[in-house]
Amino acid sequence: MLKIRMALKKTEAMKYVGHLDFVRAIERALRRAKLPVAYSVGFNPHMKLSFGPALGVGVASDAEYIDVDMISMVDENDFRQKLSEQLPAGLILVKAQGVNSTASLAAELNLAGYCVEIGAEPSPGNLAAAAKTLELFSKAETISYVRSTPKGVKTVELKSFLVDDPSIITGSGCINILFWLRMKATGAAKPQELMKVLVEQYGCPAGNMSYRRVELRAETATGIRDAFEI
Amino acid sequence: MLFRDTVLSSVAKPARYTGGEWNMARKDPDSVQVRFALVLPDVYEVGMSNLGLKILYSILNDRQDTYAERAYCPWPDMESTMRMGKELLGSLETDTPLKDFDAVGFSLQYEMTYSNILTVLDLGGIPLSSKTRTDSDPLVIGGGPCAYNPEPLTDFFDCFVIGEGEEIIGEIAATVAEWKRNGRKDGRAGLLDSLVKLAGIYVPSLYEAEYAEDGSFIATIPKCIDGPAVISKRVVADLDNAYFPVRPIVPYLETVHDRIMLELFRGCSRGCRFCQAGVVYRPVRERKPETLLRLAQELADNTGYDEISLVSLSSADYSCLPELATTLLSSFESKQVSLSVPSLRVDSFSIELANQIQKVRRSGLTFAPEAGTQRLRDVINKGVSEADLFEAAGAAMRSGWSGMKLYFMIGLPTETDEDVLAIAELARRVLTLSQNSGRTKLTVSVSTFVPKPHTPFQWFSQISIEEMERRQRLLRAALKDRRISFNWHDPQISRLEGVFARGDRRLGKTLLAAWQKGVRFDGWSEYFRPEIWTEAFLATGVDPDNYTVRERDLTENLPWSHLSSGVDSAWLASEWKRSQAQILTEDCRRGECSGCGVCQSLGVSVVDWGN
Repeated sequence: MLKIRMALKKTEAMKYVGHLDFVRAIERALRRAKLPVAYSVGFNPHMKLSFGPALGVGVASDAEYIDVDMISMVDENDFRQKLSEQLPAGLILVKAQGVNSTASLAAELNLAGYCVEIGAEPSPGNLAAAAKTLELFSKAETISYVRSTPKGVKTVELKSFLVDDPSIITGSGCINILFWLRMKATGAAKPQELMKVLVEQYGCPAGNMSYRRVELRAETATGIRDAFEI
Repeated sequence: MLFRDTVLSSVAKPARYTGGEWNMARKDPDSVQVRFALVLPDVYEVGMSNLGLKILYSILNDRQDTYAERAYCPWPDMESTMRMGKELLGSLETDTPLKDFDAVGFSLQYEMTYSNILTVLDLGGIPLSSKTRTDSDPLVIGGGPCAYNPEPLTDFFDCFVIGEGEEIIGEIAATVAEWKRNGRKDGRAGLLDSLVKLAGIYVPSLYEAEYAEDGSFIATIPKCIDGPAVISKRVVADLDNAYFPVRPIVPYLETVHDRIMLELFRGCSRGCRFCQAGVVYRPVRERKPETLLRLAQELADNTGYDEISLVSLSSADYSCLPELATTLLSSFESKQVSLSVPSLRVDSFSIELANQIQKVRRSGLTFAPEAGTQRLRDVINKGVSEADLFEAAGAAMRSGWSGMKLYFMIGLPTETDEDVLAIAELARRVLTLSQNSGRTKLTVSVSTFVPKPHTPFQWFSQISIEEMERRQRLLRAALKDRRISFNWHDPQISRLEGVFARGDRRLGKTLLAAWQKGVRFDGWSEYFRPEIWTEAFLATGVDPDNYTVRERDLTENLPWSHLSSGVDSAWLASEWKRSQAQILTEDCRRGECSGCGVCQSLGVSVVDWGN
């Protein structure tokens, strides 16, 4: 076993650290931890790491997955302890486990679960409005979203990315909307795009929203698996 | 974290404002006596790259009685978001508004950041004018290279540090702590009275600038008995034993210098006559190679960086460089840490060095001949011949470097059109050295010379905007070649830099007016608004040409004459005369002493382990 798969939480200030900067932060933490990470060969050697699908800037995560190739066997507990000591505030190592896998995390982890705290109090009125939103939303056959990027304007059919209808979870003092988005080879939808539609077209109550990716899973021909099963 | 989610989600690169980086200092603010904010008035990525502030941050945080925190200038998108939400600029460490600190220290690196100082003060809730600050407002301090002529900023600062900060920063913290312990005795005036007694501190409100009836500058004179007539810089005599931080903050965002900065030595006495750093950081003081190796190891362990940059004003001049590079390469190769040298000399030693350390030929090499003709290079005392340049460029091309950058200046004293056109000629001849001339790319970067205080060229008349444009046109026409890309500086920025570099106190109101009318990030061409500056000069009755194109008389008192780098002004004047006669002056580091006076006046000496 020369590959370690880890799961990390990315929270607090770290959620504003973009994907490439996150990669660098992990590399630097691994170097400080003096773990025997494998490097590519050639003129410009780099650490052999592979990351799951990139997380948007401003979105927290409970489940970021990273594979690290090692040049020698490392005890999993030792790995966890050494790396945890070197992780900056806002990055928490949840799990590190040796895997015998050649799967590409970025390609295979194609389902992303999001929990959005909508920033509206869980008053009976707001709860009813949120429920009504989701009811109308689920009845709609198609949900078009007009995405404008520097490359141009494109209409995206959001329902094709949704695994199921979004659901409501009431937390202490907050209302959360939970949904799963499918990442396809041809593209993906952003959680912010879905929320924009829910708020602007379906009247979902909203304040200062905060986004969290709660889980990543792999949808395969034989069923849905978690990141440590691929 | 500095701002709420709603704010952070609406701006570019929010990680500029969130703090929390690895090695950030964490303290209980209530456990210290002095809270010190360190500011570089530019965007985070630039500010975080400054070595001086890294040093001061660590020195202050090593003190039990002090907590040093950081702030940078919010980018214009963040400034407008903050103003809309009436947010105060706070520190990255604890989000404490700047107005609640005991001291706010600005690093003054470049004249074009001056308007950002006002942005930072204003967003931090600190009154802009030092006169209107009360006992509860922070002490506003400036330091760094521009503090050698801080006169245009005197309206906004309570004091300036002249020279190197390693020793005095602690003295300032101790002085503030004692003043607070004594119940802020005699208020701000009491604090300033204590500070003015520290060597190297300039308290502008205790000095008066006098002007003649025709508006010409007479002198800056102390108004109190404790203020010395001339304030000499502070200097660290023993750099090898001086403090060097081994736990610098490791940013998330890619900063301008996002790597370990290992300072080999301070100072450079090659004596280029245009160069301010070459005067104010004298004398040359090297660290020992064994010290550097130890620092490098600790830095690599504590940061996780994969690159060590050997920084100095002219790193290739380090006496033990071959030995140091070999040792560093062998110690770090297995750790996948690479080396880089940012400043190369124009000689084959530098090429060998570059070949040795830079396995990946990605960055290209930069050489700085500075001027196109030998005559002009002699004027500026740049001891580089054409043969040196061709040898170095040829060696680089043979070793497989396909990209090269040549750095020049236009507008140097005595420059003629012949000198300008010679730049193009030199570039073309460098290209002919390439065996594969179709693939070779040459960048010719030409800035416009800005005369700086405390240099032999401080008396020189800067060329006018029209003349800058004419010489740039001349060069552009002569450089038409698809293998050459030509970069030049905006003449309007070079002119404004020239105004503030050699400016006096009367510019304070111009700066304030321009800032109020909306100038921001003047050093960034996409934000630079010359038309507002023109308005501000008119509105405040200040003629910018008086600071730039006017040639000073050698006998004239200059607005920075009361501040001393330790170098005799008589020596600067003699260098000015020698430049006109094209007489070279030797580097005292390995050659003869030219009598600049810094060692005698400050009781220090050149430290070069190769001697």
